[in-house]
Amino acid sequence: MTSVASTATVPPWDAPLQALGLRPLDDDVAYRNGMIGFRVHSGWGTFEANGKPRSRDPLRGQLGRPGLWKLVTNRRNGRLRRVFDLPPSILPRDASIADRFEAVADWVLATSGGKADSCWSPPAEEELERWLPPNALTLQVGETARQGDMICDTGRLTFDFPVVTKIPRDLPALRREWLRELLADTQDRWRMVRIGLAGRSEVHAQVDLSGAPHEVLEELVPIGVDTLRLVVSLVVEPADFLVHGADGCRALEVSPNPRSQI
Amino acid sequence: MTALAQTLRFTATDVTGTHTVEATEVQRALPAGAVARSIASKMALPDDVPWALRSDRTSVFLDDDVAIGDQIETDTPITIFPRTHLGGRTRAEV
Repeated sequence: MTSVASTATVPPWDAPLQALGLRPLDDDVAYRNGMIGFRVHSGWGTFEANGKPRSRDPLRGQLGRPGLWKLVTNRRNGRLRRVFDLPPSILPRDASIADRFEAVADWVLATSGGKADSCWSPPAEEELERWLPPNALTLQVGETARQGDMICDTGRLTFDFPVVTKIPRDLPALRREWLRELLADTQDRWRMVRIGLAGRSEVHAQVDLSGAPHEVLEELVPIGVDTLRLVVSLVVEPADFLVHGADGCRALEVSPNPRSQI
Repeated sequence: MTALAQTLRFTATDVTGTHTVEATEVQRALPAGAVARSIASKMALPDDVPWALRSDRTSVFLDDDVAIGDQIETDTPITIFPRTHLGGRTRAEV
């Protein structure tokens, strides 16, 4: 008769997280300190800020903030959550690259307050361009084309695509509501990408890697830009339709939130 | 308005004069090649043909790789052409 000894496996991110003051919870898959929590789900690592977010609008005040923090809506209870998602390849598979993850977690914590390290410098633009395929920031989807931008400056590394270049002032309120619903839903569904209203009339999608440790940027930049391209390619046509092409569409003459009409 | 969202508008006609589209809110920063493809798509022109834009004001073909806003002003009429060899072979190919 053979016996199998049960050995508790400690995940490779345990030591780096504990070093930063996050303690494992009872369920062994989540960590928390007073300010922040961490959980691995579907291979992705998600940090979540504890407490109620200051902003009540997931589409306002988030663009231009450092790091991958963004507001998502919990569909079950409507509560806003502030999360920072890390792709699976950034999580350590073994203890040998735990140091790298500690630097990543440090970045997450440092940007949780909405400010980047002003002394941080991104890699040279030529190096960043080498990591991306040619024309990575030009997107053409059917009838719609968009040019993105890389904002690479001291303290800042942001990839940005305009989704809507101008929301007409006279866009009917219900169409605005549908547009907001589309944008918020897209932001909730897709990790890393932040969508927001810039001023009164523009909508942008961004991946912000400001302050990221250089040792992960060669991996994170292509993942971030690919994800951004995917999200923009999915949202740009329906957004364009809602803004410019939906006149006379009766399906859009009812609110996307029926409860708001009660 | 952010620089990335600066736009121009123009009327584009295909070379046969069959289709005309009003292109509005075209980002100035977009390479002309990407704009040509989106206009071809709006006109339901074949997507397996490379398309080029020509300014009807100057008769100059726009450079695919250069931002359209650096090559035309707003309201410049544009013609879209298939970028094809019209029969024959070049001397090098013979």
